[in-house]
Amino acid sequence: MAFYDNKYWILSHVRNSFLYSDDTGMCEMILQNADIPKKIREEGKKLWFGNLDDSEEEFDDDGRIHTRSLGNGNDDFGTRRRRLNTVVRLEKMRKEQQAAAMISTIRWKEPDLTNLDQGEKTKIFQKKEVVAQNSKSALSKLMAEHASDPDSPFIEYAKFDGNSQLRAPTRTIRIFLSMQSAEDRNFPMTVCVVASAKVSELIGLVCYKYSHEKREPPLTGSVDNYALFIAEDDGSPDADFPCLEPKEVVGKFGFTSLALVRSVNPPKEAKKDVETNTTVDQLNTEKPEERGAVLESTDYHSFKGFLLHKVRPNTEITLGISWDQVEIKPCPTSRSVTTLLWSRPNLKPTRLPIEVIVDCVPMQTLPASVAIMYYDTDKRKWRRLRIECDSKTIEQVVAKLKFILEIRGGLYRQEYLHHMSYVNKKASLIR
Amino acid sequence: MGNNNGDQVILATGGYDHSIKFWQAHSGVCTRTVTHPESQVNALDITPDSQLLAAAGYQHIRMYEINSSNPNPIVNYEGISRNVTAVGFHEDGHWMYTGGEDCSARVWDLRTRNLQCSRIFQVTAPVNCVCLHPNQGELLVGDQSGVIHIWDLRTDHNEQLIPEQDASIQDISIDSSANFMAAINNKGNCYVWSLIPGNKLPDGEEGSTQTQLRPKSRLLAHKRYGLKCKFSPDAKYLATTSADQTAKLWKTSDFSLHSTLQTENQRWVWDIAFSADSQYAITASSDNTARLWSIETSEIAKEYIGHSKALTSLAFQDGTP
Repeated sequence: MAFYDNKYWILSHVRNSFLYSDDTGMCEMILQNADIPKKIREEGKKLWFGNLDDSEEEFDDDGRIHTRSLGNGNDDFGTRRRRLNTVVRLEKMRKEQQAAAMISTIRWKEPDLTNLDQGEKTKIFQKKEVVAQNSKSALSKLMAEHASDPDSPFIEYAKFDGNSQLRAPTRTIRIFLSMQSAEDRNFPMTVCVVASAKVSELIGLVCYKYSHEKREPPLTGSVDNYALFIAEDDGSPDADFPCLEPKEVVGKFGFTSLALVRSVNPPKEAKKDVETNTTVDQLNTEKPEERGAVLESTDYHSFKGFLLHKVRPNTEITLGISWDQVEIKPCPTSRSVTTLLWSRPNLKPTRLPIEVIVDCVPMQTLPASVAIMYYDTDKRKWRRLRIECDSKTIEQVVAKLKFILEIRGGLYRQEYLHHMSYVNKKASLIR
Repeated sequence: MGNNNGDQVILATGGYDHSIKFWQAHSGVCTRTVTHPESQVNALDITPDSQLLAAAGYQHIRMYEINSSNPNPIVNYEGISRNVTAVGFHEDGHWMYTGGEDCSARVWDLRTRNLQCSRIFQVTAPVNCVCLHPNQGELLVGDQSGVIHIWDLRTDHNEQLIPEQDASIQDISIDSSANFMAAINNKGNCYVWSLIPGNKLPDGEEGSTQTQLRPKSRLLAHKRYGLKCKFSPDAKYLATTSADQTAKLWKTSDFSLHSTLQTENQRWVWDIAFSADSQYAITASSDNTARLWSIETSEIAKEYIGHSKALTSLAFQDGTP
């Protein structure tokens, strides 16, 4: 129930209503620049003791959560309301501005000939003796060294790699390679493909990366010999569904994990049913008996805990960890007078992509807690989330996150680890 | 920064798809793409210290870090009203030269931000190409009206040369030991001169007089538009590229045709570069593809596939093994 006697609430409500009902994004631009919440806050401090603007108050630097609403997450599929397109557009504009700020600009200046120092001019435009160039070539050496490398038959598919493309929409998909040995199968290949590629081209790209990474056993034949299946959570191909139609466009699908399977015969239009059956038979034989408990840990799992704040009481939350993100959802709590005054009734559900998570460590505190370190891409600094829960949960959270980070750890994690090893080295020197 | 700077092989290509791609030259793998917004890429060059790539486009010259993952340029040179068609560097990196359709060639002082020693050379027609003499003191500027200007940077003295009436000069090249100069025009004709180095100045003054040219040969190189000409590092070959979908290699001993680099799908060949030992040539073509050719066999050794539009320029730096 809203409190219509609270003028700040009403102001905030009016502001939000403007933003929500305006598809052009103009309101947002104007109102954001006005930074009304800040004004409210400043005035509010004079009038109120409690907190008024719960959503934006706590963005301080002591490692508390920097809220990102679920709507800004990475889901590219499904319907998106037009309003969210505005957000996306604004976000893009902001990023472009940030990028532009990193570029230094040097404007042409008409040379001032009267002021030109003759000595300087003579020095910098001095003619030199022409000397013979070296005639050894690193390229020729590399070409000779790599002359024996068989050209991957799949090289023509290299152009569908989304990593070497800019701006083109891409899909990042985990590919489980069923032809590899049971041990290697635990390490799926992450492929970034341009969304406009066909499934057969994605297969080609996977095969190209496979041979480029020198995975064993080597692939033979052409892309027609392979098929992509929907992968189950443990990475085994889901035999209940047919393989993805090679002519379909990748962008149409929303799968994040697929399994590459070698089919016995190249599928042919006429005998499709039969072929599918043989492939499925092979699936069943190839289906790994035991996938090990480790890989299971890439599935979504949720844990209960309390998010620690510096001053206020802790918020009860659900911590969800999956292959590509960490979610923090507040649990609905019963409202008492204290919670109304002191807690954050609407701590927004937060979703951190796994790429920004850099580390996860158990803390030696009482009661036990776990710290998740991440990189805040907006504020460009490291941050820390502290979550209090029982020791068994902590163990699970740490094991699970570490496992995922091991495979998926990105640039931020490398940077963080590098930084920490430097800090530790320094600390040990001081000691 | 880079692991083994001067030794690394760098290949970058750019064109009409508003991006520049870096390639692993020996494998054909694209290692990185950087943005080149709002403009095609007219010319590319690598700084002598192998740290930056310069891309000339419409009204801008942008500099990209070579050993980084930053997809954006780090320096943007601007203040030019038209297309920039040529870019290159002094061998010690003191200054950068550019030429453009605003009928001028410029020298940008790279030592400080305030362009202390910048220079400008104005001509009457849009500049198509600028070539630095290996003595680092003379710029050869070719323009659309068919004039080659020889601009002595120290004395500001300049001379003009018109090899053929009503033919636009498309590219000029001087071999590394400065024995020959070649220029190709839009009729597909290529002119070659012998260069005679300038004399030492009298009374102990440093420097020398301007280089003298003596006509050497005229090649009817291509039937269509000529685009680029370049001497191989050992000066044994002169390469010419053209709108006739080929690149041709000429022996400099007698200027006879050595071989024609052509393949079925190739379209206009816009740019060419040689490996340091003159064993390989790399071409950039309108069919979105760059190719590595073995000069001995005239066969394709590698293809660089990934651009989505025509390629118009490439920058290649070979390393010492």
